[in-house]
Amino acid sequence: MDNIIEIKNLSFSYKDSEGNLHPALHDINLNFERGTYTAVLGHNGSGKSTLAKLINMVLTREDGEIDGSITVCGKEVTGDLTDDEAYDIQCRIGMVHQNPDNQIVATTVEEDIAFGPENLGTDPVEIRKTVTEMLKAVGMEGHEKSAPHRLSGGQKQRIAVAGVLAMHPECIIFDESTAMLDPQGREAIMNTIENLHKKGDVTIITITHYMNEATDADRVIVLNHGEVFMDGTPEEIFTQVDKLHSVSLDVPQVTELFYKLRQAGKYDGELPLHTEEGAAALKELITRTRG
Amino acid sequence: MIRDITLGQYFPGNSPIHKIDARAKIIMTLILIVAVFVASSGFSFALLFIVSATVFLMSRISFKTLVKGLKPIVFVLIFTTLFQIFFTRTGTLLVDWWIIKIYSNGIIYAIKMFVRIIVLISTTSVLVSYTTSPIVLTDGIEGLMTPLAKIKVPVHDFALVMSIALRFIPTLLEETEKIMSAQKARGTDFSTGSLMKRARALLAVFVPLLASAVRHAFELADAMICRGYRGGKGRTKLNKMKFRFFDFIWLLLSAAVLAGVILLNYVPIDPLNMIFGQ
Repeated sequence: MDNIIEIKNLSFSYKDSEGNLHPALHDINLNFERGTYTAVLGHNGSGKSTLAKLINMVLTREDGEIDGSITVCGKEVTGDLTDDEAYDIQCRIGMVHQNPDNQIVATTVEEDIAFGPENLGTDPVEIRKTVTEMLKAVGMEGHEKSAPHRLSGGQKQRIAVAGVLAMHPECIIFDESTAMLDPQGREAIMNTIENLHKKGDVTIITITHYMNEATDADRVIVLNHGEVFMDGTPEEIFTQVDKLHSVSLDVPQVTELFYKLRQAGKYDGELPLHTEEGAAALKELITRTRG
Repeated sequence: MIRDITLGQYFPGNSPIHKIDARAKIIMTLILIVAVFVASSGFSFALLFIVSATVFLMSRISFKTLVKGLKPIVFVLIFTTLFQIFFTRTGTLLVDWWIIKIYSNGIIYAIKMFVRIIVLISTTSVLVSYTTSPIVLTDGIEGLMTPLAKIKVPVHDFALVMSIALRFIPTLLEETEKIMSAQKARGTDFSTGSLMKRARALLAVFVPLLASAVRHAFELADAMICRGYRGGKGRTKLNKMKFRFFDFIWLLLSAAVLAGVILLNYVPIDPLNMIFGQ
């Protein structure tokens, strides 16, 4: 098994300006396999964004106290790295943030997507090819010359994804990338993630608190108060409705519906995670009740 | 809608003036400014006037736009012109009525000053503001300043700061609008009361706006680092500016105008002197 990220006994506390420590993560042990799609769930303050920032070295020893280790692409990023080594890791791990406005640097779409490759010193002809390819990958062809402020939130976020993809990263972390989008924008981003996953050459980690966005992942990790609370396939996680409720997390709506049906003694099958499965199960249930 | 604001005064177009390389345009403007200040004879002013009129006509900018651009300086224009007319005391006396004495030189100076200001404003705005997008202009300034990088002037950083500022103007405007509505909903009154009171009401907009601008800056910095930014060293550019033969011709033409202005200054007869009888 080839792990792109290995986290061992990781604890992290933020240090504020007065030197007080605020624990955020406690004794985390996780491995992320190359090419997989993992969703990390949890409340605000559960430490999920902190974890992402540690992986990508946005948070370092200057920001707080780190115990344990994180190894990314075979390099221990929590240890001592030279600037060039750190830079190399950062280029291999792409990150899409929450606010699309704060990720777009340039005044036109094409120049924004080109920003990463430009930083890497790529040949302009090659950059032009990458820009065209990435715009196609996120379904935004024909917007090369558009000004970012004229685009919708979902479109802006797709440009941000294209900008990250243009660096050809080995792993992309989506840090609540859909939180500020309307339902259409959210769906567009989820489709983009799905397509990336199908191609299979990048490792995807999404951090979210929308349960529906986690059902398509290969694996779901639930964080609670800085600890790994659950870890498994979406089927394993979301069928434990009581356990999720105990930390006041929801399950997908359709799962909730069938959970309630089961509690009422009307249903005894598997809890569905996807709307389509739910619809089919519901249809069967109705025919059975009538017949 | 705030979404549709145009940055600067740029009018997109496809005229020959629009197509000149931004660096060439900046140099041309500088040459023409020098020419305007060097000009002294009536012939040189006539040449400058013809040149700026030609540039204006070639740019296909509407006359209305040009007049609009001149509006802010109308007061300065009228004031300096009148000043020259009434307070010059050399040349032949043309009008002597009550306390008003107008001399021939007064009229000549006034005409020259008038043409000087009009030519100055119209050529700079037609060449730079109206026909060059702010983005291209930033690139042009960076391009021209690149040699300064050798003496450790952070040219790339300046250019980046400028382009990020341009990028964030619409974002911050949108946010200002949101904050103003939010404060209005909380009972802030922006439109009535004394000046002091209104200024204090605006404070309720500026403070959150500043806080949010700082937050933008931090997040943007994170995003830039994540995308491999580490200064201008070793960076390539997607759209490289091309200095073509055509741009070179434009530079030669403006140099020719400067030379023409200097030569015409030495012509012994001045049409303006002849008209006003000297």
